Amino acid sequence: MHISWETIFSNFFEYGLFFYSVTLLSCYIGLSFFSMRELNFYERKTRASDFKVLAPSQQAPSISILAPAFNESATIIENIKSLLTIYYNDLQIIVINDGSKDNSIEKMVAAYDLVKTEMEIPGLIQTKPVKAIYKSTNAAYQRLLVVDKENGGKADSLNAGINIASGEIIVCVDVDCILEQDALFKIVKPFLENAGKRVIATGGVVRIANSCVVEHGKLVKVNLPKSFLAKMQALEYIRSFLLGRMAWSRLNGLLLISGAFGAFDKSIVIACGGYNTNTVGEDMELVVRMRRYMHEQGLPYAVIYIPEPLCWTEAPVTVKVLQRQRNRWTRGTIETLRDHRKLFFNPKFGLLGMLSYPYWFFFEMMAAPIEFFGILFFVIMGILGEINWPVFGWFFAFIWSCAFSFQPLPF
Amino acid sequence: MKKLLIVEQEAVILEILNRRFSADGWTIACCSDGKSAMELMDTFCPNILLTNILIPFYSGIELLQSARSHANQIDVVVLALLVDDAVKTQCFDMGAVAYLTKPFDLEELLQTVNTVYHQQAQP
Amino acid sequence: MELFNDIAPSIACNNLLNIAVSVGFLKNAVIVALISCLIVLLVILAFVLIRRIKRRIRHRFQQLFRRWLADAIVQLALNPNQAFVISPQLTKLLQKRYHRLLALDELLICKKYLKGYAMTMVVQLYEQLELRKETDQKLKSSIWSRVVRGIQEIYVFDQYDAMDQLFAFADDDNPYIRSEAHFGVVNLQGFEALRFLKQVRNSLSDWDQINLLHQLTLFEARPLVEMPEWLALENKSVVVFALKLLEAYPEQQYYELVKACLDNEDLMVQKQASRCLDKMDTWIKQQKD
Repeated sequence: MHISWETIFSNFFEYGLFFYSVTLLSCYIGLSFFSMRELNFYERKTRASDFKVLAPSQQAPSISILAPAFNESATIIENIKSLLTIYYNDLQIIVINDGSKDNSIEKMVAAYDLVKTEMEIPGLIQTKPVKAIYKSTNAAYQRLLVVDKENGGKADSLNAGINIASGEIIVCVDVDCILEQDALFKIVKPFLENAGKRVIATGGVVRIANSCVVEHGKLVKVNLPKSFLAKMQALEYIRSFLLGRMAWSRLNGLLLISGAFGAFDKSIVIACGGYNTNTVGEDMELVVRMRRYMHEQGLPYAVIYIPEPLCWTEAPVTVKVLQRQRNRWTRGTIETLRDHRKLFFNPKFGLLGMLSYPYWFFFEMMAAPIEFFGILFFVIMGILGEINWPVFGWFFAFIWSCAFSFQPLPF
Repeated sequence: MKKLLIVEQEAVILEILNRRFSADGWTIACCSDGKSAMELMDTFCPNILLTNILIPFYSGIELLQSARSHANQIDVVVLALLVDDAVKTQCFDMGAVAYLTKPFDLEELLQTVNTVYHQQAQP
Repeated sequence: MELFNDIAPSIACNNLLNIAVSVGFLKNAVIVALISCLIVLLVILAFVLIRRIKRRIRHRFQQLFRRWLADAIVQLALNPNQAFVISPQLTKLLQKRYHRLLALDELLICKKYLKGYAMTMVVQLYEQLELRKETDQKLKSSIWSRVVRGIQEIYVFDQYDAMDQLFAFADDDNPYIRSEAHFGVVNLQGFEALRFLKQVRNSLSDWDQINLLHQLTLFEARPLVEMPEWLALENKSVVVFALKLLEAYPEQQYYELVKACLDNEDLMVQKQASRCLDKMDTWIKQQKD
């Protein structure tokens, strides 16, 4: 039988893409099944408990909120105000001014009666030099600590914050995120429900705040975003959080906790060496490194995800900004996966190496190029007249009905 | 006419408070979150505000602040879920007149609110 | 596509595929696809409608019950000697299990948040409506969340006669049942109930411990006579909890035992022991002054 290069080439693409799609779809079905169970479990669990008892308890873990800020002078005062209204017993709020070129520091000093302090900073993690640390003279703002340092990026700022933080648990937030009032209780509770496994990191659902009404740093009315791009992103966030992350949390294979709102066990973070300043995807990289560390130490651990919306953020509404954001996310994923390629199908790392990493590699990172080439191949075949349109029709209908059933219905 | 604004998340407790105070001659406005409470403070103009601390949207502390700086100088009775000395001191510093904890005695609460009202009436 | 046909396992499948791709069939297929989409949509719509109707029924009953309960409590306040009356409409509704469970939820909230005569009335109602039967059923359930709910109802409604059942749950494999059972026994008996610590083989989570310590503050402190046994247990989480107890209620006689815990192999025990010692040192100094 004469097999031409063309045949090999086209068959490779045809069956390769087919196999890829089938695997991807099965993964989605599997994930949705796990996610459903986990959501069910979480709902039952919260119905029975009253976590408000955590607030005044002397035994509750101390928390340090780290909020790096760069050129946010327009909104920084309001943002800090909203952070200060959070109700929790042992709470410290650290705002890190990452060498802003605007007047952020002056504004903060004026608004919160800040003065420089002579504080010993343990050099646990190497960072760019810290210029000054400010504390408030006003008793109402005694939880607030402002760090002024040279510009070094988000990861570097967070590392500086970690050095100074006195809490057992660090909560890393984007300073312009709006937190729910009970966000801290909810995100800290998994750390305490340690049934054999040590919880090293937790994350919650991040939702889109576009077109929502915000008063005094509080979200008072939820609206569907008016902008088309924001609407699509809102849907995407809901799907990815409730479907993807819940499922991975149940499987204990979660690789990513959103940089917008995540809580980490400080001692483990320091043991791992803090955030990596050489990557743009520092949030994912830290989680992967922490997991890897726990595996290498042979300690049972868990990374938990909470399906409740704890944090609201503004999504980009212009294509340009969105492009930049997605570009950064993809680059971050590529860099993280590259740095930790030792995990790829490595049985020594259990689920992390055998399932999580490969899934992220094939279906998150490689998805874009594979899908691109798939469409290109399809177009070429279409031009060459090789497409069997009826079969295409069936596949198309099938995929569309799957896509439709995987989108959360707005009820 | 004595007006009372009650902010309470649990619907059944809200109903009980509503009935009890109404039976005692109070005109009641109820809500279960901070946002409605803020609006009602302006439209209903209560004499006294009875609120929780952990409520949706605005916290009880913010309601307290808002009530004290209101034109009517609304007195605030805080009904909190737990005895937390730090929050208690904070409430009193901000001008709350009373701080009760749950579980609470209905008659005691009624008495407290009435006492506050009478003290208000006195110049 | 020929290769695909070759791969297809049987002739029947082959034939099916051939049919599937013929134009005539496809015309029908479009109709079939449309109809199936419609069916799917209708099913979803039906689900949503049913849920809405259920929600409305639930709301209506809840409102009715809440109003009645509020009225009954006010009646009791104004006429303390008059017994409360359950309207025939309500009695009829309360014969359905669904409504009884809803009523139980409302009574639970009331009992948690109210004191005094209102509270006694709630407990009376619980007994009068024989809601204990529902609680018992929940305790027997195989679904853990229902068991947890049942345990909660036992201790909230002061059902002391079920203490043995709660103690039995104290070492359940499910951490949430365990947690709730511990909380329940301590809620009802305070320090006396801590005898369950000896029997627990599974670990005591931090959340569990926080809740227990908080609950114990509502009772009068008692000498912790079983402390030597607790500190010698194999279950490290119980040792840590015992040390936390000692930190909150220091007793000089156990000072040496705590010091010995500093050499324990478990890091958490060491950490807690050192915290406890610091507290005891301060306390002893205060006693001397």
